[in-house]
Amino acid sequence: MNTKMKVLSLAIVGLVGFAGSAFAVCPAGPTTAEGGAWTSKASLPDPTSSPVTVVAGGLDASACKLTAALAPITAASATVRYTHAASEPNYRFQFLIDNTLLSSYNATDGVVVFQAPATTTAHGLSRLLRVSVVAGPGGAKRVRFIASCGTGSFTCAQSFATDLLPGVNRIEGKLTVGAGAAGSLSYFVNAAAGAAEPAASGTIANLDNAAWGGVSAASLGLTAPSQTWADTHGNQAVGFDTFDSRRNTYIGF
Amino acid sequence: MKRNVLFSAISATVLAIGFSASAGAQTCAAPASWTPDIAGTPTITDSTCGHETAITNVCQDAAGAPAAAYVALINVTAAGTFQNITFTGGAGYTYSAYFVPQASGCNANAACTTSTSGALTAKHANLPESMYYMIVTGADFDAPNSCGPFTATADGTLPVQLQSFSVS
Repeated sequence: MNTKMKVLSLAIVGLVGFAGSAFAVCPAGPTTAEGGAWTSKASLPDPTSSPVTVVAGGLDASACKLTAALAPITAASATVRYTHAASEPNYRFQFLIDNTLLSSYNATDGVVVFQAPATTTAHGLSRLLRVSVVAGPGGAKRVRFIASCGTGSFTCAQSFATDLLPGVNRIEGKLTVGAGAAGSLSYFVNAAAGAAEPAASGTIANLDNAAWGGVSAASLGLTAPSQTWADTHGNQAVGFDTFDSRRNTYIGF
Repeated sequence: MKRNVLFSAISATVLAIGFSASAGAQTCAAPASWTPDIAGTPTITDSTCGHETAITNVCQDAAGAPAAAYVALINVTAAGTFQNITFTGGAGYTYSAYFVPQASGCNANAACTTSTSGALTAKHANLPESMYYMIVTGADFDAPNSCGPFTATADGTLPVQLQSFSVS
């Protein structure tokens, strides 16, 4: 089954109505009520200090992109959410992220940029996956995948995070929910162009994540910053674009 | 009436003299008790080498750690006058400091209350009253077993912990 589950691309949102226009007009906001594609948005403590907005100048030759920024506190959040119609045990996702405006990282800097909320809360966790931008050597940025799993402290992550490029990066993941070894995550970071699925950048195996049921929603933006991230990167905007999710087929580009 | 007040910092007097190059391993099982006085004395001058070797992930996997950590137990109270704890690292690794509530466990990969690195300080304002494991270790990107020297300096008191009190 190669069902394309849902395309929530802000690029496509823009292209649908404004392709080829030199005067493309972006939606007033990211939610469906505002002309966007997302079910809802959240800004904590408030929309002024933690804005999540749609602006012109997409990351993939598209008309528009989503930008998020956080107030300089760890409780800040600026995200959009799409609630899926069903619980999804096989879930692929892809998005573009632009870290251009994030200044050099400290070693403990980290912020969550994508989450896959779960149908069922288990072991105190209501999500199946977190994707964070963490520190690399010399102030660089890396992406770290943190999956919920049925053993130990109930989170499982890669041994080393994956390097990000300065600027725009394409991040794709394939999350499978199942008991024992049937649960797994494969991720693709800045994979080469093409429709054929390449070797994964990495895999987290044996997640034993059946207790979480399936993916109930997608949450994109900035949330759960570490203290040093909040202290250093508050008000720095991060761009997102071209979110896509499917059940089975590799997304690519 | 007799009062027996037993502080966890049994060696507080010794600590006031110096807190460097601790002879014993400062581990989850036997963390250092750090109770600086009003002047912030003592400063910890030690290394992340040769202490706790089991911590490989922290803060619910928000970061990895190189399995070389120095662990201290600190008591944050309203009475504590410190505003900031300043760290410096050294060669061999990239220091990172994590604060985990004692109740959550030292090597349980539990949620961190706060963390710091680089030139940033750990702030009293970000540490609600509680006992914390102060875990000084390397960065997510450091190679396994990377370790090196560090200092930790408070700009005021971190009170001793009252562990036992009896009236007879």
